[in-house]
Amino acid sequence: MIEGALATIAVGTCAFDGGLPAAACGPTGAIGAKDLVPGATVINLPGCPMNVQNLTATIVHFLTFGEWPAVDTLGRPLFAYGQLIHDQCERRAHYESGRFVLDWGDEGHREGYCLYKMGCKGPETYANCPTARFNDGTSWPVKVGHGCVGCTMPRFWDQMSPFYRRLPTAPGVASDVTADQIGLTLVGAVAGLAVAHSVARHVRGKRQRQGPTDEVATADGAEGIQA
Amino acid sequence: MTRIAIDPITRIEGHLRIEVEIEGGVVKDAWSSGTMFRGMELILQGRDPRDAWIFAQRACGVCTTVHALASVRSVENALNITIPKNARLIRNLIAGIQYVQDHVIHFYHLHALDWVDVVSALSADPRATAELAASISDWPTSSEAHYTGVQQKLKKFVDSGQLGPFANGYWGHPAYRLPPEANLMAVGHYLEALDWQRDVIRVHALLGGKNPHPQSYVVGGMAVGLDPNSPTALNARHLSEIAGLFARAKDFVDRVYIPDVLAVAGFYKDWAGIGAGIGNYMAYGDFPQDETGDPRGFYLPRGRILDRDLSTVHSVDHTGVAESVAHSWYGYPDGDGTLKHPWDGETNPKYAGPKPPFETLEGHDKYSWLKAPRYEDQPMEVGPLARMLVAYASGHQEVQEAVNTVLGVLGVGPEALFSTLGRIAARAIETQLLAARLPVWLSDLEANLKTGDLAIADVTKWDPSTWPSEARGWGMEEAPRGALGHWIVIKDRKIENYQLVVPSTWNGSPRDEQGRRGAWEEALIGTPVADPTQPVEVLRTIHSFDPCMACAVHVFDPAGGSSVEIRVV
Repeated sequence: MIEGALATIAVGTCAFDGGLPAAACGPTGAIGAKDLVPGATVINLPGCPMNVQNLTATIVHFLTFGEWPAVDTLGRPLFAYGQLIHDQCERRAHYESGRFVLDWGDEGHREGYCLYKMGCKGPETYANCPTARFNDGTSWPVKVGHGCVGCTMPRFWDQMSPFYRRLPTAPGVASDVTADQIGLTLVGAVAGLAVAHSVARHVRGKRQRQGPTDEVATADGAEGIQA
Repeated sequence: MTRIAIDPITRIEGHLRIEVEIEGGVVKDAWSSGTMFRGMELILQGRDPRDAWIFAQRACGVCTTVHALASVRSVENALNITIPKNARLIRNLIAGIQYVQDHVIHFYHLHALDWVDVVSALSADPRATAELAASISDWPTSSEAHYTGVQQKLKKFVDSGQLGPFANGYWGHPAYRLPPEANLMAVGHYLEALDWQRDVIRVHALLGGKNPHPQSYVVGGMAVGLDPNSPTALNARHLSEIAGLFARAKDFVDRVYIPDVLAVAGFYKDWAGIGAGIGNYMAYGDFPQDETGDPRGFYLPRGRILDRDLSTVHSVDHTGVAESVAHSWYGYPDGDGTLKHPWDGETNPKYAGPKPPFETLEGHDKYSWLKAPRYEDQPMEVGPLARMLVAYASGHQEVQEAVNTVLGVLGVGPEALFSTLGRIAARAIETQLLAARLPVWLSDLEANLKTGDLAIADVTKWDPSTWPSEARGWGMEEAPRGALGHWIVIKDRKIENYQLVVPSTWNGSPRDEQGRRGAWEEALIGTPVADPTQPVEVLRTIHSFDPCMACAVHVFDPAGGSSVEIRVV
């Protein structure tokens, strides 16, 4: 059916790359639609859940312009997945000023400070959650107070977890990143040069801003939350 | 003897197959088979326990959020964490509106078409429909013009040959008994409920960023910035918006859902004598109203009813739960008939069914991806009926009043509760009680904020270096579909074992090591089936449980495929 279709819209992260059943130690061999039928035209709308506005807009784009929207190398429409969450985030000014949430419910949490130190994956995640928002534009997780988990990115269940660990200072450089993770990061980077470029850019930005006391490690290998 | 298979049997989230044997126009035997497996429990092993809820929540996107709550509670139980009052109330608000939305969706969108003949609605008189609607409620859409519009919309569907959500019904079946006007009224409310549910669930977006899968839980409380006076936190504007959504939720329940349930039930009173099932009911209880964690303080109480005896409420302790895989596609090294408590639970997939596509599971000793959970070795039914029976028998005043009112309106006795119709009535009663309770919990939250208490999480155990090297926990929740439990074993700050025992596993359980049927299987025995090629009666009883197979089986049928004889869309 997929082969004969004008295009297939893969809705959600499971249709994109196998999603949760494809996470490490999953016994099922789940894969995404594009991997199942490599020759098919597949528009990927990852996210868990996908934002329904992006599905409507993808179809309306076809009806309006007579062609599918422009996509990145992972088949994701640029109008929805063309910009980092971090670059659209309403908490971004706090990041620039070095104001971070350090504990759930602290003053910074109430004042809307940046969630980067609580593990937010917005600096490495491409999606329009901050602007499109969910449920008729009502809200999105970072607005409420929880970090992004990176659910629109390839293999995010493994690549973005542990979800509360602060992003490493540079891919493949941090001491607690395993060889496997470096390998997969590189695969991701090859798949999308724009991703790699942008990650590097933001990682550089972070490194310049972090003082040495930022790097206190706790017993589980996670980076500390003391500033 | 006729044997029929219905696969999938649900209108949403497939992967459930029911096979029944019919003799003399009634069901003689039944088999319930979960046909999907995802392996979530295996995926969770070795991960950070604080991440578990984000994974576990994905067990289901229909009754979203319930697995997140059960999961954080399991870790908090293991680490002995008490969450602050604000977090407790926000969790009640999220879970409560989930009940209200989920139950209304179930009635209109997943179950009503077993009772409502959509095609018959085409022959209704719109003016008489408006009069009927106005006679049972003062809901404002009860006009001739409105129902003329509904009928035209429906006619367009039918004329186009694309019935969309109304495809594949058994339209014209003699078991449908509503007059055309009642059918048209129900179709009108079906469409209104679609818009209503989308609106009221925005509470999840306000408190959790999105629905499905709200994303604001953390082990220890909630990741919600909370301050009525902060422009960047959950503030006075949001609280007022939530109050408005709760008011709209309650309005629709009181003025549309409840009158519709009573009206439809009036035509199908014989279903108060069909579908009774095993007669054992269990509720973990939920909606804590204080910080002690004591189930005696829950709004919906904990307990068990055995053999339909409402004079005694038996206790429930999670150590009484165990699972058999005697007839399930799993293996236990020490024997598949062993009963294993979830802390010692194992998920070793071992498919032993026929190679798909197949016509029948007949002759296969193992026939489901569902395990067979038992409480002290007894099969149990869980869900709204179990909760209402436990509350009724426990002396819960609001529940007793509501149940007695409904029984009085329908002119039936308490024994009518043990039935297919009883499940539908219990779900409606529970919805009405919770829709009335939500504004109270919101007021409690506002009153607590007024005291200056802005605490939202206990973070003293956030850092894993504070944890013991080994810990075990149980997280329970009353999901809309029934008692839900997550069991976790933590070792060296990682998940050593994780097991979910979910409502549809209790209800959809296959036979156990003693050959006793699960709740759905037992409830089907004796169900009349007028036409084996159109078994709408089987659907009525199974759907009355609100089956949801997404979470009942945790890995994909490795062979894939589908042997679909009868599809329910």
